[in-house]
Amino acid sequence: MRSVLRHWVALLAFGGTLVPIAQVRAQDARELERRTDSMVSMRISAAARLAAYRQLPVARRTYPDTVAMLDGAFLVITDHDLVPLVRAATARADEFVRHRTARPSLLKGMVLAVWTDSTRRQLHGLFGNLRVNGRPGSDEFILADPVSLGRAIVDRAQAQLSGKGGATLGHWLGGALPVDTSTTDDWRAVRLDLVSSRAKVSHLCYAGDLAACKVTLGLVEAHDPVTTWYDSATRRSAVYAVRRFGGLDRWLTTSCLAGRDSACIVLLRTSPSLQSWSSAPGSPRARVTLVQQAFAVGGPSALDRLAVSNDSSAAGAISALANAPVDSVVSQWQRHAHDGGIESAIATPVIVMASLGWVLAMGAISLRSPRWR
Amino acid sequence: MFKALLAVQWKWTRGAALLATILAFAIPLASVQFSDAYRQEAGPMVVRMQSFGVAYAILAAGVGLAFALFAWGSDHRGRHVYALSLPVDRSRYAAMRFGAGILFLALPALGVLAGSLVAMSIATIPAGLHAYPVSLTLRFLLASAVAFSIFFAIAASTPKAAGMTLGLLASLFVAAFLLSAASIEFNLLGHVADFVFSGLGPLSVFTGRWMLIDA
Repeated sequence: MRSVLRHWVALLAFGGTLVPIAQVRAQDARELERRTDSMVSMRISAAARLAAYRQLPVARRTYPDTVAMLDGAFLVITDHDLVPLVRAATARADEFVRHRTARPSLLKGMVLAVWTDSTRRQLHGLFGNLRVNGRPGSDEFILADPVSLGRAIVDRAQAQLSGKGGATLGHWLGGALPVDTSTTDDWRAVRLDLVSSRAKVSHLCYAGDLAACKVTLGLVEAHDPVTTWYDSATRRSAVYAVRRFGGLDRWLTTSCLAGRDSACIVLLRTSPSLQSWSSAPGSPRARVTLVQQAFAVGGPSALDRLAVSNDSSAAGAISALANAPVDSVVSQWQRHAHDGGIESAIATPVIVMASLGWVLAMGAISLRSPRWR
Repeated sequence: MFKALLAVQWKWTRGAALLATILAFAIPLASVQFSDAYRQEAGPMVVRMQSFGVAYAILAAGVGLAFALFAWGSDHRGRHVYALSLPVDRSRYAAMRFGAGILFLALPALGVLAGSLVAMSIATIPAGLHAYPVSLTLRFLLASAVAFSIFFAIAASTPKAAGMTLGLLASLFVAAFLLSAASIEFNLLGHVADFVFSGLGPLSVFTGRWMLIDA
């Protein structure tokens, strides 16, 4: 009897030790859950506060400094510590915009707010918010250096000055109007784009066919590009490349890959995943160099001509910028694309001089070693 | 005396020079070995030229290293007894070794030129692309000369100077680590790499375009 009792006591004692352990575990789990919930709610509230901070209307901030450019037509408001940077950027932008427009007063009412905070500062960045006639835009990230800030100012000024023609051109370019000129590297890259394109029309353009250049650049619509630009082998390889994930008609795909060219043509004409094969084959870089060429040909006040241009096409905008017929601009562009930058980028004078300098320097160091080893 | 020194140094270097010249001749030829399907296409050709560009740079660096080590190897092994027995001062002796090494670099460079010219004659260069055999050869020669002069200077220096160079490199890494640990936003190693590999930096010749055929 006693031993049975002892067993029961032992069992109860064992059970008694398990209860607090289980309790502790339960507490641990509950505590962890509580702490996790608390962290999640803190994160949510911090994110909300950050979002609210970022959405603060620009007008509510105080900007102690103002930098005026273009005879006061364009103002940049900012904080004390950013004034030197803003001054350097506006000096660059002022000169550039004046070259492209004779009427900077049209920018009256444009105010760019520039500021930064600790997070942006760590990324070497700034916030820029353009207000036009008091209406604030959205905050944009700009790198905190005079070149990037100057470029941001010029982009905004150009967009405002170039009017509807500028918007057409921007849409055709897929970005802002260029603020620089083409380099030999650009022309070399455009030439490579043309000669390595799968579309025959690009090769014709390289060979000097101006009509083909206008099609390549997307200034003129092409009639049935699928059959005029590509041969049957290229069409088949286009279908082959997207045969699995392109959502193509299975029967037509099988026929095309089996060698039936008419099936490939139908697929290229109708399949959304193959639509890019009917788009103008000129690269975005080719379009940018054409606009750069137009700016170079047109000289000063190009944006003024663009703003008053009645022609709403990209070709018309190019013509307005250049103050010359579009064919003439395309012809010059083609010549540059054909011949520009055909000089060695492999051994430039800088590379040669730098290498010779280091060879001589290292040679001199070798001779000056003080003793035999 | 330079002729005698040249002859001796040639004996030490000729094996490496011969191998490097054969490789230098072979790289341009290998770069234009296309299958027929791609023979006429500009895109694949440029991509292939870019991939072979690394081979020229590596060979140039290897040639510089080998020629510099062969220039000093025998002297180091003989504890400079032969050099000390000559009636010339140390700087003149080093200058002759340096000049001889630079002269030998012309051989692999001629290999690149010959290989490039043969490659151009057998390859069909697509319209719009151009061949740059002379520029490529010049760049190869310059790169191998830069590598040679750097390794020559290291090999010619005293153990103390070599230790200081290594110490400087190590201290750069330590400084970069300390800056990072102190949360100071300064990319020290990035700036050093920028100086070394770009613009007028000592190794800038090894970066960039090394293409026999380009747009």
